[in-house]
Amino acid sequence: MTNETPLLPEVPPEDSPSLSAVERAIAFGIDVTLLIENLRLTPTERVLRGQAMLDSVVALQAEVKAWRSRQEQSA
Amino acid sequence: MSATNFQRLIALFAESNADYVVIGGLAAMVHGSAFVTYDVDVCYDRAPANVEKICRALATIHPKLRGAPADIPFHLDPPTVLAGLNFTLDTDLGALDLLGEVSPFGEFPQVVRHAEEAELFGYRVRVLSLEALIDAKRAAGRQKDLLVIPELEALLELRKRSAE
Repeated sequence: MTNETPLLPEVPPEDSPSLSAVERAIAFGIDVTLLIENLRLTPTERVLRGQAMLDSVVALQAEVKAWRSRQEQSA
Repeated sequence: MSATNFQRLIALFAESNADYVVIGGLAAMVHGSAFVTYDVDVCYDRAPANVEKICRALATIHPKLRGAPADIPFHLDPPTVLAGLNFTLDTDLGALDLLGEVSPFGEFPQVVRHAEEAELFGYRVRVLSLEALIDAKRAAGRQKDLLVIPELEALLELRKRSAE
């Protein structure tokens, strides 16, 4: 065991009581800028944005499924 | 699989004049969550007249039990709803969960006390408050529920900061 300086600075754990909720979320890996952006939208705009994200995810899942099916057929 | 149509499901419920509260991922989205949700979750009032309104509205979008074999007969009518409690459904407009109670609050009369109104697509819709959503996620206790708590708590803090 050595006393070398760590390469990365100490990051407080996400459950540290000294952190604010926003700091905890950042430590947890949440992109808080997205939340700030969402809070500037109306509730309807937030749902429309969520719908667009869901549509993209579902379309991507369908593409992956079709690609797998083509791969299996050609194998 | 086609994506759940949030706008049309919200409109269907709003025009049914039924008593319900939007909960779950859609409620989180309304409050500003960036997580993608796949379904619409509502807590409905189990008063027979209300169940009737919900069944009448949902009949137009052909609800089926999600994940159940196609040959299992299912008809979402008032006796069925009143004999059960929670229903996970597939409909013509996508995935819909009808919940008779929400932990830790209980049934609709308790849940509605923790709701606030939001304007969605021109309708006034009751949505579970951010604070109550955090309590519900914590009470549900599943990994997928616990994962969203840090984001919801951050949203709550950001909202409080902007109100100051």
